[in-house]
Amino acid sequence: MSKPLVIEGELTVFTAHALKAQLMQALADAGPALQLELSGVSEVDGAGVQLLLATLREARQRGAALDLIAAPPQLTEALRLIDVAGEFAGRATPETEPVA
Amino acid sequence: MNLDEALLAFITESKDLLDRMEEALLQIEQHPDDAEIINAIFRAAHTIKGSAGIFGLSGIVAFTHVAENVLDEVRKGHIRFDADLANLFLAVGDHIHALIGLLADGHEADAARLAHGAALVERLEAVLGHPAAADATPADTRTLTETPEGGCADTEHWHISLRFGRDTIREGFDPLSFVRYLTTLGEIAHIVTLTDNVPALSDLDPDECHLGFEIRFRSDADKAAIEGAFEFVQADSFVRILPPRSHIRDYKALIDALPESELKLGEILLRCGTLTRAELDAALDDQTVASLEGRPVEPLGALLVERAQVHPEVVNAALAKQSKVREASRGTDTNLLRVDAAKLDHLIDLVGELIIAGAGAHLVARGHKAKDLMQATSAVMRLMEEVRDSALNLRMVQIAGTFNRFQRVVRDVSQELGKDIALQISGAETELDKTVVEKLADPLTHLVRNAMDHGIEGAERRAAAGKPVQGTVRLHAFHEAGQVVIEVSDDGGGLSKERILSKGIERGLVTPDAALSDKEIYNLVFQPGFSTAEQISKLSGRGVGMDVVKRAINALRGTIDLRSTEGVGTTVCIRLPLTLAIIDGFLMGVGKSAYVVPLSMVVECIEMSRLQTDGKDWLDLRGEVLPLVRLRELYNIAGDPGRRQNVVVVQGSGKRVGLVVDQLMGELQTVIKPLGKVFQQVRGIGGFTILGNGSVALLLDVPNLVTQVADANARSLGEEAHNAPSSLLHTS
Repeated sequence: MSKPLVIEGELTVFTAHALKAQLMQALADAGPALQLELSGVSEVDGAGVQLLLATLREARQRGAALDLIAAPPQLTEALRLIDVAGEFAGRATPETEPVA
Repeated sequence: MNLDEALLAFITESKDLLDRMEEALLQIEQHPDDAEIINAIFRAAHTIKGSAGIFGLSGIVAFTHVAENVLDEVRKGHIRFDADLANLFLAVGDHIHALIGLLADGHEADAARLAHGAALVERLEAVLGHPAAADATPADTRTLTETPEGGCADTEHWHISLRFGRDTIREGFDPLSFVRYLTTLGEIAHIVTLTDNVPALSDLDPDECHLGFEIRFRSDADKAAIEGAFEFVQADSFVRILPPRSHIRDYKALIDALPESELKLGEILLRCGTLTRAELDAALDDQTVASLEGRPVEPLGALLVERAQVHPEVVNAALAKQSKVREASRGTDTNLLRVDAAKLDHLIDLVGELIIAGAGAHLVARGHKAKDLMQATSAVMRLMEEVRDSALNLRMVQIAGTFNRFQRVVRDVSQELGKDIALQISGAETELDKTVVEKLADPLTHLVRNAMDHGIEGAERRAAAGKPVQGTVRLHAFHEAGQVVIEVSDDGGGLSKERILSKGIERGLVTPDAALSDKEIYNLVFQPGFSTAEQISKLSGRGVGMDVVKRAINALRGTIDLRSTEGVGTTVCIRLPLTLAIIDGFLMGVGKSAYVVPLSMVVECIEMSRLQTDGKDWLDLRGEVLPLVRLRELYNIAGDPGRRQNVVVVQGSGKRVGLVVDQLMGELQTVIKPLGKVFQQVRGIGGFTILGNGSVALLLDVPNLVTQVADANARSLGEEAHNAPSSLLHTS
């Protein structure tokens, strides 16, 4: 399994384009599972959540899994707000459980 | 699409739907149990109500809602669609039409309109068997809990459906912030994010918003406050807010309005806890309607089979029928494109310019005697003419729309008159220019009313004459020699030549000793001042005579004729050019100026020298007096007339004049452009065209010119006119 992709700073509309390129690349390299290391994420908005949802969909289409690791409180809050946290919990293991 | 555009689209769509509803209502009298016709009526009301809801047009929603309830009962077979109900619904359709008309004009409904609406609601309620609630507005779903669909949802929660517009993020809004804001107004009991709408990453434009939510919401806030949360995105996004305990029907409308499949939405509503399974089933009971509207029906079919409620064969048959209906409606509707008429006009304008410029290029090429260039330009010209023809074709519409409107007119008028009259329509697929079609409605209405009022006799007289008791009015259209011919005929009593002639003499339109052909006599009815007091009735009177009809037709560069056989019937025949933008013209030169008259108005050309009578302003044309108009004098053109002059005999408004010109320059097909505002007062000029060599030619407005001359002659020629009476009244 390849190394997790580390996302830091904003996960928002302002970084979405740059992150999309990174995520596409990571998906291409990742093989059967992609892990996103999110502990450094400082800010999340709707565009950021949408980006994660799109990444999840892309991963599923490629038959890969997507795990979110160490999601910070602002991210878990956003995912819970619109009740999509469960979407990412498919392969959740104790180690990958969001750090709330 | 901004809100105004959307509203405009709603208005257009609603008018279309109302037309279709009216059509169906007229059919239903013959086939009161035809489910498809009933569905068509229901669909129209249903769609209008749904769309009106999106725009918050509560007046229209409220009114349509009651109508829809009645229709629903009809669909269920509880109420039969009899003639009385059809009448009521025609009135309902008219009322919705009026409401939408007011909306289009930006007016509010006045008290009289509202009272009318209330009266109709009362009648509708009476049909439903409900006592009309004294104070409750029909929109108030609580008064309607007894509709058989199961009444209201048993929930204390609001339900909010959100589909953000694509540009929401780009415009600086964060979809999450709206949800966050909601939490300040109350508590989100359940939220479902429509993740399926989010594309895969490779297809995602991160600036576009694909998020949508279904929210069950507990709050004591009022609707306005909740709506206020979405104020800034309302224009581009889909926001629906249903209060607690809304009618099942409203949930159903919501499901219909949302882009996702019904089944999925239904499940989402269940997941939200907004609806119970039983309530959802009640809502989806309406499925037939939805599937007729062209939604995918397979999931429902599968569902029904799964629940063992229906045999697969039955479902298959129903599905086959529905897809057929869908196919049919797709054939007529979805392949059509609504385009702003102004855009089309602009295109046609440009094509016109292009042709003129092309002709100029061709002329230059000829001037240079460059053979290869000439060949190239002729090829270009040919193509441009094709482009022009197809561009003009875009403006062509079938006359069916106009004709079908008369079903209603004939029905209403025959009821008013107490006569049994049927309308026969043929050639409805004939196409002509949209502008012409629009301007035809009034004159045709007048002719049809006239035929019904004066043409068709009462039942006894018909029976006595051995005719079928039911009278017939026919509308017939066809193409002939580059023109459109429209006939309005009736099988009534016909016109009495003697009576027309004596009336014409009485009115001073002809002198007693004038020898007129039959045709000329019949066409006297188109003379101004012929319409008489005794002819004016409530229906066709209205102070509008046949002369107005004739003027309207002439304004479209058309002609109108009447033929009649006493005791057998009357036919009025209208001939119109296919299009107004391009005419076949006849080009004439005076000095250095060029003039065009429509070719259809040219009767003949005569060489002047042979018949020349110096200084006189009339000509003896085979024994008839032909007034002359010397264009050189009329338009103050410098220079002396050549030795040989020509007279172009033109005919307009039923009269003939001779135009004296220097040169005859032949026929041309040309694009007519209107004169600028400055020249709009100029009489006798109808527009202009640019010739291939770049010079301008004026289009003579022949009917106007003829009238001017006739007036002038009538004044100055007093005596002479008396000697040659028919010259001023030379109909053909």
